[in-house]
Amino acid sequence: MVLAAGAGVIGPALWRAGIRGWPLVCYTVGLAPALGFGPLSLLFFYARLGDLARPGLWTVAMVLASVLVLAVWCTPSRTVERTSSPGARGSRLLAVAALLALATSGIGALIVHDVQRRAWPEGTHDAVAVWNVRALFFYRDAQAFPARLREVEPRSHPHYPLFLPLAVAGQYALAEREAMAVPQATALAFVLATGFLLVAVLADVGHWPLGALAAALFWTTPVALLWGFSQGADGAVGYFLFVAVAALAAGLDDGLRLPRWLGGLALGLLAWTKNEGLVLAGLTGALYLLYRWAQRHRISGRELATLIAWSVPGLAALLLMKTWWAPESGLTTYLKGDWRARILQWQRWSYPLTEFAARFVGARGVEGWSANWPVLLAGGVIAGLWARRGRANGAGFWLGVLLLATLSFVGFYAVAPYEQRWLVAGSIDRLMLQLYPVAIGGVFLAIARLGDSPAARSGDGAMTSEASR
Amino acid sequence: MFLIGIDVRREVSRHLVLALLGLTLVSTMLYGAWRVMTMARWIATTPAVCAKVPDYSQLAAVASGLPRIAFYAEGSQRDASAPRRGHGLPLFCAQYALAPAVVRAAGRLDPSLVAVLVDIGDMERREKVIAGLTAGIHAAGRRAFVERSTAGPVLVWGRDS
Repeated sequence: MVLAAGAGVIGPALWRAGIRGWPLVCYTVGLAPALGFGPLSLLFFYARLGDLARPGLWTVAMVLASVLVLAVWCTPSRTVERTSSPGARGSRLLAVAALLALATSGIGALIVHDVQRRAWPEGTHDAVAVWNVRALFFYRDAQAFPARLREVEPRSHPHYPLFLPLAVAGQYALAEREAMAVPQATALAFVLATGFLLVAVLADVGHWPLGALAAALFWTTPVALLWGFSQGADGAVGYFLFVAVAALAAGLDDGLRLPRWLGGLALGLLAWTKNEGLVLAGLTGALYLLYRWAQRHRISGRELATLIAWSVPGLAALLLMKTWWAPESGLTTYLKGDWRARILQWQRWSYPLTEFAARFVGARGVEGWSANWPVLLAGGVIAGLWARRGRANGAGFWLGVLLLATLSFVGFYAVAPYEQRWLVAGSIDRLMLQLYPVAIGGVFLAIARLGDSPAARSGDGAMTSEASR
Repeated sequence: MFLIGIDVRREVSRHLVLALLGLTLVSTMLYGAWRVMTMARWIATTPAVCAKVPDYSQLAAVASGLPRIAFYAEGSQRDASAPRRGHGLPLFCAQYALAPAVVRAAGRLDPSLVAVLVDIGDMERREKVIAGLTAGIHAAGRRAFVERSTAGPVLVWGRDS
């Protein structure tokens, strides 16, 4: 129901943005969790913060209707005429093969989800210790929640943002009962939506078969399914980062038509999902502004205001939660002990760097990623070399986000006060899952440029002509 | 080499590169699908997170009336010190089962603790710890309550009489 409402919110805005056909369908399905779970989680947070009654069905419906009106209002009306019909490129054989791969991998992902939810109904360790238990705390006694958040075991990270727990608790409240199916289905929604979004992004630039292959690649990655279905927050972080990057890349002449407000919303929700989400949101937003500057496009005051305004609900929720509810922001834990000495130890930087590199090149002993990272890396390099003479578009932006995010993770490992090998072993795959959708999307978009005819590649402005309002 | 304005060599190599990429992608996906199936078999045979710890939920009704519960697990507490780090999982499973009551790792066992969840497999030792706790509660001038679960864990708490 929440997802259907989310789809109902984003659909009209995308229609107004001039998106039609399969890209519209896939975008709508792919963005439903952002527009459904996002407002739901924030609504329950602000309602509790303001000591208001627990939101019911009508309140949720009214809030989502308001988001719909705002979203449509903030989306510039466009009529887009493509001079080359999207999806017409590539052979029929490729299209059939891609559809087959998409359907098979999608069914495979559903089977894995079913196996995982039966074997581990309450999720993996972090879902039990952090995410699902917090949803139970909120649903069972929302009044006492802030006080109890300050009292719970510090090792359960009470400073973690509350997007996921409140999205789950909100669904419990709407259904008026607890059910393990809720966090399980929420995790499934993010994994499936990420795949649909990959199809949508590639379909938006006229290469839906490639998009289908991209989604199939995502859904046949063991680690993506394992941690995506774990009921932890990493799948949601990867999803929101992908939404943010795709929506912002639309502002960098990347051929995408997503409205910019979506980038702001996704940045805010990214920060509201997990601590590293705030860092990722900051880096992504800053890189986008830098890119706009480098392209000598003047970022209009209206666009900047739209971006900021849509990110405020998520960012403010994070700030308020950290200030008033959490026992500390997380920095106290993070900087425990002699953090300056830790920064100065080269080994603390080199070890995580080596571990990331091992996964990127598919070194022996690295399990769970299949051969996907090296293949993506090779595809990215080939596409990058080929695109040298053409227009770079936003490809550098996607790559830049990946590089900065990886470096920020290495920095996190270097400074974190825990035993490093234990920390890296327990979290590096989950961090890489956060980058994975952006990596697939960025590389496949770059490959899509290879598939464009020289005429189309020489300028995507020739591919689409827009008549803005 | 140009033909009607098309760089033939570049177009041929472009298609070759695309074909190579396509083949690599398909083989990667097939390999991934096989690995996913292997993983699914592993998941199906791996117990759930809280499967290896006792069922704490039998104490949920009593726990809901207590503000804060100290969790005291067996393992390293021969000297009644705080549970060692490795005991995080039973603690988190207990917290999951008993929310919204707050469950935290116990420090030293002393009468100032309002409620203690004792999770000790060795019955003799468990009863000794419970006896010590109730004696401490009585000594502090309060009434002691004990709630036992069939799974083993025992909840001990005091209330002003």
